[in-house]
Amino acid sequence: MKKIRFKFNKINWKEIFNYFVSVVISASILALVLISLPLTEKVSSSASYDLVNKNNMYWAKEYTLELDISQSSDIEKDITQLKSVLQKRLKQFDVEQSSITSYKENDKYYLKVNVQTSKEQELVEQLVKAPFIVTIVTRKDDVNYEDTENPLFPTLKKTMIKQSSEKDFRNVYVTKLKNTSGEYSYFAIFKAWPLSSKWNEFLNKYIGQTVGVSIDGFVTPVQINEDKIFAPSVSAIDEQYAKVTSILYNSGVSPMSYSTIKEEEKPLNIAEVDYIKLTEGILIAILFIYVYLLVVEKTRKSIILKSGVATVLTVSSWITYLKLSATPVDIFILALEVIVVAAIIRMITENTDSRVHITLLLTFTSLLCILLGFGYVKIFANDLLILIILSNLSLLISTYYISKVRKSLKV
Amino acid sequence: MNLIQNVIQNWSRYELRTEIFLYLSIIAIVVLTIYLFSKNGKITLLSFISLCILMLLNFLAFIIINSLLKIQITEVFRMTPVISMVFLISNLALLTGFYSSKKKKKKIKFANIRKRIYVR
Repeated sequence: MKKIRFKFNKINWKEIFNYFVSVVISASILALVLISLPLTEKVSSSASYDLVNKNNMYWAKEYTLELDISQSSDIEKDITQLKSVLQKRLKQFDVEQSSITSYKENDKYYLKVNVQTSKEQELVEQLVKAPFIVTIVTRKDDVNYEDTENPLFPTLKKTMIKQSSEKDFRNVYVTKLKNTSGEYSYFAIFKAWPLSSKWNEFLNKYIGQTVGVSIDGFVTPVQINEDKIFAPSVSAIDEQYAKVTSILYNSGVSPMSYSTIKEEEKPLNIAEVDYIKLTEGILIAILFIYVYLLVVEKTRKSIILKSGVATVLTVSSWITYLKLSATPVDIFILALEVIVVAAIIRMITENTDSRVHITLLLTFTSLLCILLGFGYVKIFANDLLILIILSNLSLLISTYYISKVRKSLKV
Repeated sequence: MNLIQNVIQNWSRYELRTEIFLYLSIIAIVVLTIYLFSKNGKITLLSFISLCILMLLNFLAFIIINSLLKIQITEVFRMTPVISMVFLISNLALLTGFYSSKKKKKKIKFANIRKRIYVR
């Protein structure tokens, strides 16, 4: 019987690997596009990943604050400072829209604080309603704090002596520390100015004794231990509450006290955008731009193809990320981001000489907007920074992918 | 001038300072980076002037929208200067990149750059 012999040619592993990578990238692009298209989650009942529209989370309110000017020597200056403190609090908490106006009526001064945001209402109200005037106090010698008939004595500022105010501290750091029962809870660590000898003298004087931190007239007792760390407890149940407390401590000193006399729900003023129609519009617009570029023949076909694939990859992977992570999105900002990123990709694909320059300058701009911007500007800059990185990455992948596919197809 | 009065009366000092500082620092950083890349005074000056003109045009546009078209300038409008800046900065970066790559050629002229970038 004749033996059958198989003859193998030398296998080109490199080609197989390239082929395999091309297939994986093709499948990934297809999957990303399918996930990013609107309503595709309805195809499968096992997964829910629709885009979370922020519009349903927005609420708007107007708060009227009556100012206590009894301690104020320069009312106008103090009102200006208070407005800055409140605005700083709201901006640090990333409240999307806020405005503060002051007015006088019947010899009384008022502030109107208008807020429109998707942030948790309870937390935002805490930032608006609390004057958060902080003073360090010590106990009076002539007051009996153990008096059972007056159990509130240790918690009232009027029974204490004022020692120093918030101005004497560099900042207050809110963090988790072990409490006396061995569990972790939030504490506010007061950090004094490096050259402040007054604070060190105060700590040395009251070592081993109980002093207090008065916030809006209510005192939290603090035991000064040998480490001389001044850390009153914070009644924060989670990270968000701790963040609010940190903002309240570190957003400046309220020059006057106030009380909220009125709060009123306001109609929402947001751009209502149908994201399905918007996605269709953007897709058609991008398609038309590329068809136009192809027709007018002013750009090489290879560049049009590369930037087209990179745009699809960037936009689809960004929307897929937003969908899968259930990140709440302002649809009108998303539309702007897509337009901007499509233009940037077009520029960096065609002008390879300028890729580093464009990326670097836009990164600097985005970083500055994140650091100093408010509301929508900050959200836009945050997303733009991610999209700049993503678009450069997509361009690399699309360049690699197109060259490998061409090689495989021998085009 | 209703818009300017509104800003002065309703914006807090913190808001006003931060907003001004944001745009000034963007202009400063962009101009400095462009100078470091190009080492050319003309391109740096061009970048600075174009950024200043952009800010002025944005400001004028707000006044026209507010006073002539009677459209209220809301928080969303704050994005306009940023988006227009993103496009202008991209174009300036294009110019700088092209200039940086070709500056070693002896006969590089601004007319050629203009032709290459804007008249394609």
